[in-house]
Parts: sequence; C-alpha cells; structure tokens
Amino acid sequence: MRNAMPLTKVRPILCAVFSSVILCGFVLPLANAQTSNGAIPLEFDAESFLNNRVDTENERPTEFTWIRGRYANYGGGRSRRGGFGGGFGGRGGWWDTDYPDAESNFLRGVQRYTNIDANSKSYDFLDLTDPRLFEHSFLYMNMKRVPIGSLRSGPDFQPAEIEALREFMFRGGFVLLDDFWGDAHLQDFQTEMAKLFPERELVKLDTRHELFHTFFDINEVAQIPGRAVTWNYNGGFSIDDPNYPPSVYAILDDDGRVMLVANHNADLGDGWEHTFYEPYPTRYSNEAYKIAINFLIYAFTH
Amino acid sequence: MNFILDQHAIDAIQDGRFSFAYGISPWLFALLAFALIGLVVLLYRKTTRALSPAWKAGLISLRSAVLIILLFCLLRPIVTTEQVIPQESYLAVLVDDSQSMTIEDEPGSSSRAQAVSQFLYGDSGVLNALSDTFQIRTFRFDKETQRVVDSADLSSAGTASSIDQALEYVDQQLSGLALGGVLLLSDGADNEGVDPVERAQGFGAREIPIFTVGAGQENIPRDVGIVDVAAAKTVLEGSVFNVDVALSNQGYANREVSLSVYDDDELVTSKNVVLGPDSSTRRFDLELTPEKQEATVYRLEVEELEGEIVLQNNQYSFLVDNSARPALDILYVDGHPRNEYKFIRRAVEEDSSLRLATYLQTGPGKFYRQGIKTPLELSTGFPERADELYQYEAIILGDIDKEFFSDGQLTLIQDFVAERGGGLLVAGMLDDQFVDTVLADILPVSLIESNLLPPTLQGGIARGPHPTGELYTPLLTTAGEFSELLRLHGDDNENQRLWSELPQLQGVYVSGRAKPGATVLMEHPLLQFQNQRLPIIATQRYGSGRSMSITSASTWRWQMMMPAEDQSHERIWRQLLRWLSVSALERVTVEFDREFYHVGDQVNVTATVRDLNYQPDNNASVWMHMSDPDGGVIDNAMDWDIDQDGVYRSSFEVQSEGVFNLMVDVASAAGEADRSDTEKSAAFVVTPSLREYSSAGRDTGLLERIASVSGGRYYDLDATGTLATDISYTPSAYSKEVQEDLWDRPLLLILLIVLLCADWVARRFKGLS
Repeated sequence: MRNAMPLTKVRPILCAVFSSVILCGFVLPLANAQTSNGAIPLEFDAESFLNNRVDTENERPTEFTWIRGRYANYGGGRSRRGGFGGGFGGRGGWWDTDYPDAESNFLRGVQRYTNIDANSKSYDFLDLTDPRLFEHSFLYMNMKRVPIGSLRSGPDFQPAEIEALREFMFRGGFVLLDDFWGDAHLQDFQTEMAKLFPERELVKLDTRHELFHTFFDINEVAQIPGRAVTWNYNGGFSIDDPNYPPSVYAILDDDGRVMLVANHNADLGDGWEHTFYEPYPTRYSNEAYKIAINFLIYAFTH
Repeated sequence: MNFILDQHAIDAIQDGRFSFAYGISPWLFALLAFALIGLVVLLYRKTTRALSPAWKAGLISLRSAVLIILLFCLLRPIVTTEQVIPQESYLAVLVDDSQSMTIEDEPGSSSRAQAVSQFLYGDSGVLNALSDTFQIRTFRFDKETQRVVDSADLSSAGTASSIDQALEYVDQQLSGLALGGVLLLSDGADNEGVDPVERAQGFGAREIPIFTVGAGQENIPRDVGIVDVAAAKTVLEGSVFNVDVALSNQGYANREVSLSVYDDDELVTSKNVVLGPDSSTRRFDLELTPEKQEATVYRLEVEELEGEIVLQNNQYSFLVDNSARPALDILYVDGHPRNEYKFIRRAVEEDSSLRLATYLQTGPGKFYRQGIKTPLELSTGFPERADELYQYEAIILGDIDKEFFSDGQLTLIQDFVAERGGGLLVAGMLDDQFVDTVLADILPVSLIESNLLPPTLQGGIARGPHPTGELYTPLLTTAGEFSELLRLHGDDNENQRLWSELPQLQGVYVSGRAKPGATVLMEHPLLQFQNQRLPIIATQRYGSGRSMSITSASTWRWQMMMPAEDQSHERIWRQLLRWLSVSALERVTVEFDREFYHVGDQVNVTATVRDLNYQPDNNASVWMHMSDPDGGVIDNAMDWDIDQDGVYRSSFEVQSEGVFNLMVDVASAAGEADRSDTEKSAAFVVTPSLREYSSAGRDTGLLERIASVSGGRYYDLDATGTLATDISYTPSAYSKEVQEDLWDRPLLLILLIVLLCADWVARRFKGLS
C-alpha cells in the first residue's frame, strides 16, 4: 500500500518488548510432535546471530535453495533481469519486494536454528513457468498488487503460470504467499486462488493446526509490520493495528496436507529484511522467522 | 467242458503235466502208434484192387489215424491241473473308483468307469461267471477302500488312487478267509506315492494271484492340463500376487492358449501363453491383484482345445490370502529436514501395508516425530532397549551423525538385523566416523575413509560443480532391471521405457566397493572406485535380516520432476521398503505342510514361536482356533515339538471343501497376552483335486508288474475273454490238483467220426471191400 498509515507513538513500548525478548528469551513448551532428546528447545532470537553471522560456509552449495517466484505481471518499468544485480530501474513490479536482503537474513536464521542445509546465499528466484522450478519444493511469493485495485503489477496468474503452480503443488511443492494487506488485497488473493484452484476451498487456519507447531509452538499469529502499511518511512509504527487482523489462509491437498499457505496482514519479508534495522521491533522479526521456519519444516515433513 | 482243448489244458500239456492214467509212458504210446502204423501198412500190402501209391498212402494214413486215436483214448490220457474248488474260496474284486475313471477314452466315448461296470455287471458280466467258482467280495477304492454291493455304489469321485492301500485293506478284511485271488480293475494311475508292487509280491508269496484289468488308453493323445498352481505375495506395489502355473501338454506343442483367472464368474485377469513341446510341463507367471482383503479362492482356467479328452484338468482352484495384515512398522531417523525425507514419507503415506514412524532432527537438539502410534513412541529418542526397537520391522537411517547413537544403540541395530531379522536401509551420507562401527559390517557396501578416496571423489556430495554432485542417469544392473524392488511394470520392455523416462539423479555419496555378497541394483554411470562403478542401490543379507544402501539423496527428483499423476517414485519406495521389512522374523509364524489340501487329507500345522527377543520360545501356551467353511469352530492346543526349539504342531483331517481360517494365539510365560504380535492368522484351502487327471493315461506297466509278481495275469479291458477260466485254473493257495480226462473231449470223437467216414468213403470210391 502506498498510503502510509498514521505513525503511532510506540517506540517506548517497542523498546520494552525488544529488551524483554532479549533478556528473557522465553521458552516455549514442547509440542506433542517435538521432543528435546535431552536438549533445551531454543526460542528464536534474531539478536543471537546479529553479531554472529555465519559466513564461512556461504559459498558452499547447499541442499536447500530458497526460491522466490517471479510472476509474469511485473511490467510497467520494473527492470530486474535475469540474475540478481541486473539493474534496479523503475518500479512497477512487486514480486521482488525485500529481495534479497529478506532471504539472506532469513536463511541465516534457518542456518542457525535448524538442521536444514542452507546458508545466507542459498536463495534464487525463478519465473513460475521456468521448468527448473520443479528442482525445488519450496516457493515464496509476494502476493500484493500495486497499486491497490489495479492489475498493473502483482500476481495475475496467467494460464501457463496457473498450470505450473498447480502442478508444482500437486507433485508435492509448498507455496508461501506473503505481504498482502486489507480487504482489497484479500479480494485479489481470493480471486487468484479461485483461478488457481477453482475446485478447492480456501481455509483459514487457526493456531491448533500442525503448521504452527512443527518447530516452534506458535499460539498466536502476529501482525508482522509491513512497510507503508503498519510502519512508515519516517519510522512510525502502528503495532497490532486492529484494521489489519493477521490470519493465515491455506489450500489443502486431497490428503489434508497444506500445499499453499498465505499470511494476510503480515509481512514476513519486512520482518526478515529489517532484522537489523534498529527501530523495527525485534519481537516481530522473531515472529516472522518463527512462523516461516515452521512453514519450512512443515514443507519438509508433509 | 470246452469243445476243443481249454487253454489251461494246453498250458498243462506244454508244462509237461500230461500223462496216461494207466501209467503207460508217452514213449510206449508212440511205439504202439508206430506198431499200429506198421500193421496197417502190412495189411495194405495187398489189396483187392490195385491202388496207386498215393491212394494207398492216404488210406493207410486214415486207418492209422483212426487206430491211433482209439488207442489214445483207450489208454485214458489225462492232464493234471490246479483248480479252484467251487465255492470253497473267495475272490476279492477291487474296482478303481477315483476321478480318473471318468475319463471318456474307452471305445464309443464311454468312460473308463462305464466300461468297467459293463464288464463286471453287464449282461454277460464276468462276476456272474466267477461267482460259479468263487465267493465274490467286491470293493471300491480310491485313497480308501470300501465294500460295495453293486454298480450303484460306484461314483468315480475319489480324489486319489492308492492300489497299495486297497490291497492292504483287502488283506486285512479277508485275512481269515480262503482268499483264492484278487481281481483288480483300474487305470493304474496310482498317485499316492506308495509302490503297490511290493505288497503284490507279498500276495504272490502267499499264493494269492492278482489278476489285473487295465482300463483306458495308455496315452491320452491330446491334452493340456494344469498340473500345479501356487500364489505368493510380492513386494510389488498394490498387493500384487505372483501366480505360478505349471501346464502339461500332449499333442499341442508350441500352441498358444489362454489362461484366465476367475473370482466366481468374474474374470480377474488373463494371459496368452505358448505351450512347450509335447509331453512337457512348462511354468508360467500371472500377476494377480486381489481387490478384497481376505482369503479368496480363485479359479484358473486354461482354454479347452479341440480334441481334448480330459477336460477336468483344464481348471484349478487356488487360494490367495490377501487378508488385511498389520502394517509393517519402519523406524526412519533422519538427521536434517530435506526433500528426500519429505518424499519418502509422502511415497508410503497412503500405503496401508507400511507405517513409517519418523524421527527427524529438525534443529540442534530438536526433533520432530511423525507417524507415531502413541504419544510415548520415540519420546525418548532412538530406542535403547531391544523390546522397543524390535517392534519395528525395518530401520531407515538418513543423513545422521555418529554422535546421534551410543555404542549400545549401534550394537542394538546390529542385533536388530542379525537376530531379529529386520531390515536396515542407509539412505544418506555416513561420515567417516561410521567406518569402524557395526554399520560398516551390516551394509552391502564397504565404508571407506574419505581421505583414502581418489581426489576426484573427495570432498563433495551436494549439488554443484563437484563431480559427485552432478546430474547423472543411473544405470540399472541386470539384477536391478529384473528385481521386483525396482520394477515399474511387469512387462520388461515397458519397464525399460518407464525407467528411461525418469529424470536424472543428482549427487552420490561415495562409498567403497560393493561387498562380495551384495547385489548391486543401480550404479553410477561414470564415477568409479577401484574399477567398480559407484553403487547407488545395493542390498545384501546380514544374519537373519537384510540391509540396503542408497547413496543418493535425490530420488525425490523422480517425484518433483515427473507429472503429478506419475506413481514411479511412490512405487519404487513402497517396493523398496516392503522388501526391506517383509522378511523380518515374526513372533509367531504359521505354516502348513502343503499348499493345498483335498477332502480327507491330513493338515499338519506348524507354529514357530519366538519370545520378545526373537529367540525360540519353548515355554509358550499355543492355541489354535480354526473355523471351517461350514461355520464349524475348533479350538486346539498345539503341542511343543521336543526336537525343535520354538516349534509347536497340530494335525487334523479336513472333511469339506473351502477356505479354512486359522488363528494361532500364544500366551507366553512372560504373560503378554494383549500384544497383537502374539497372534497369527493364516488360511488354507481345501480344493477339488486334479491329481487324478494329471498323468491319467493307463499305467499298463504297473498293472503288469502287480500281476506277474503275484502269480496272476494282466488283461486289457477289451481282451478279457479267458479271464474267468484263467482265474479258476491259476494255482493258488486254495486250488487243488485235479486229473482231467482228455479221451472224452468232443473234439476226439468228431475227429474219429470224420476219419472213419473219410476212410469208408475212400474205400467205396476205389471199390475196396
């Protein structure tokens, strides 16, 4: 959303939350599906790798590669080409929002907290119709259309993309959609889902779902602040804005497994990207890492 | 008295049992005969009219013959024969009443049974003739023998023939009586495996001759028949059973015939096969995928060919036991979240025959359990006690560090494979630390420290530019191509095509060579170590169990890079894991001594019982609970076999056809009655027998041997004219020596009259007085 939200004076609260997270590092109870095997489960804390970046192995090819999907509808001047670093001309497409800093930070967290073979360089992006998509099983996409109410840029899946995405998921791939806000984006999302899976129901998951307990126990879905939505360029935040109740939608396969998950009213990408941006509340960065790690573990186990 | 000489009289003469009642030797008779001839020649020296020498010789001959016959009769010639004294001894008549007697290969397309019945009981039936001399006792026999009164008691329903048993029965029944002989009517198709010739020799020794009459044709000229059928479950995807069919063939060499399997009247599967050369038996395979999860009797039919006499052996009933069984439990431990883990899980998720209990290390000190039966399962990590680990049939180890295991746990894994008979699959990288552990012993490939590898093979197994991380098309070895573990289709060509369509793999974990006893199923096409291609999939036996190694973590590409509807990845993994786990020892196993039974057969059940540590258990209470096809239920305790550890036995006879379901329940001394693995269900089927129709040609040789060793004679059914007399005159324990006059034979009188007439006419013709 281009319209900035009113800046709220939350900085003192944020600081308190930030400190408490760092100081307390609360420990979540074990989920039924988890066991410690003698070790204490770790609560996610982005601060823990702030000064401890694991870069030594970053050139090594890893088993896991985080793939960001590039939909076709990103015209209007967006000029990112081919590989990363190919020029950042005018805006117009939003598929690469937060790319690649968000990926790099998040993968650093994955590397530190999980046994998934990844490092801060193990990311890439692919067109949805690229056959190499099927060499991966996890796909991340930004779901917002910009400007709101227009089809100028943002997901507007074309038949070939629909076919590729459906096939990707039916073969066992997992899709994570992120960063769409408010009713207008929700409608866009529903429209695209109806195009993608006319035969399937969009379900809203509550936190009892296994997805929220595969690694961390998440009992409340957080509204991860999104730039230009619940926080502004000048640093003002509208934490837990009641206008944007966070929710997680999913599409299930025939066996009840989640094959697509979408965070509405949350911006995981910003949560990762701004991990080290001091004003960004670490608590929400933590939540962004936690839920995405849960998604990843779910994708690797279901 | 016969008009001319009886055969027995001729035999007696040939045997030198001819003499003259007044004690004159045949030589003296010959001398007298010559004297008579001399006298006649003398008297014919002068005749009233002149005669040509030819006429004179003829008249001399006629007159001499008349005189010699008269002399012969006056001297009272006799033959000494053995004869049965009428009604003083018994004759046992044994009639084959087995199914083979229904074969219609007697003249006029009548069955063997009909021909025998006509021979015995028909208008000029031999029993009537024999009853003048003997007291007749008639018996029918198949695998058992019973007394019969008349032909109505014969049904030709016996499912086996035992001549030995029939002779034994007769011997027992008539042992106190004067048994003067046995008449055996059969096609000689004895199939109980006991040679009756020995018993026949015993009869011979006691001077009880056995006369045998063979029914049917020696060679069934044209026949195709099912000899044997066996069905075994495979590890192939989807409860596929392999049905092994043996077809015999006579007269239809290299002919294509259709084999069909029916469930009641519904055609389940069919296949065209080509028969072997004449007089051969060839085996064929059929794949059968039962829809019902129960023991089902199927009917196999081979098409009826023109000119076949025996149609009964063109079908065969057999049992396929597809009863629902508890899923095979597999423990899968993986060191990190990865695609291979995900897709192995997904591959078997819908396979109810397998349960994967997975223990995944998701992060440092964090584990995620899936597929667990109870909240406690794997709650303390990898099992440390045998009874915990032994509840699984197989273990899969993914990329896992040596530190994950204690030494005790590694030893436990070794015992799990070697003693419990479980399967071990290492599907991932094993680091150098495992080289000196028991895992190195168990696996089919040798483990080798990475610094001992050639430089090209060192250092990399992940994706990337390293040779070991590149894409490759794996090579199926010959063993792999035909292995049921990697079978994608029953047809070889189709299987090859499907394999060629699978995407490439990526990356190989470098191990050493395959061990000498290992079977390599798949290899790397390029990379070699010590001149041997790097094994990708290899298997071997280890102790009672099996082990397998898969040295690539990219089989998931067979799923993600193939269309969603393609089931190759699922199929391969299900087959691999079934193979791995299916042969694990069971606490209780039940075996039958035969594949199929027929009514009246004895069923021998053997149960093998193992305790919690899979050692033979001699202290168990073993109960057998059986329900028969008629709804009857039998409960029996099974008896421990003192000669074999852990083996319990029970035997019973089956009396009806159909499926028998059996449950063997074990209560061990340890008192663990509630465990499901102490029960074992099994089923067997009692089917109509086909034994009678395989090799159903008349066994003349056997019947001849029985007759000759016992002092009797063999007859074809259509050449029995002298049988009744022969039986009366054949020496036996109850026959007596009788001197039989020959002078009163009508033949001699007629001959005399003819000669006298001829002499008189000749003399009148020549005007002699």
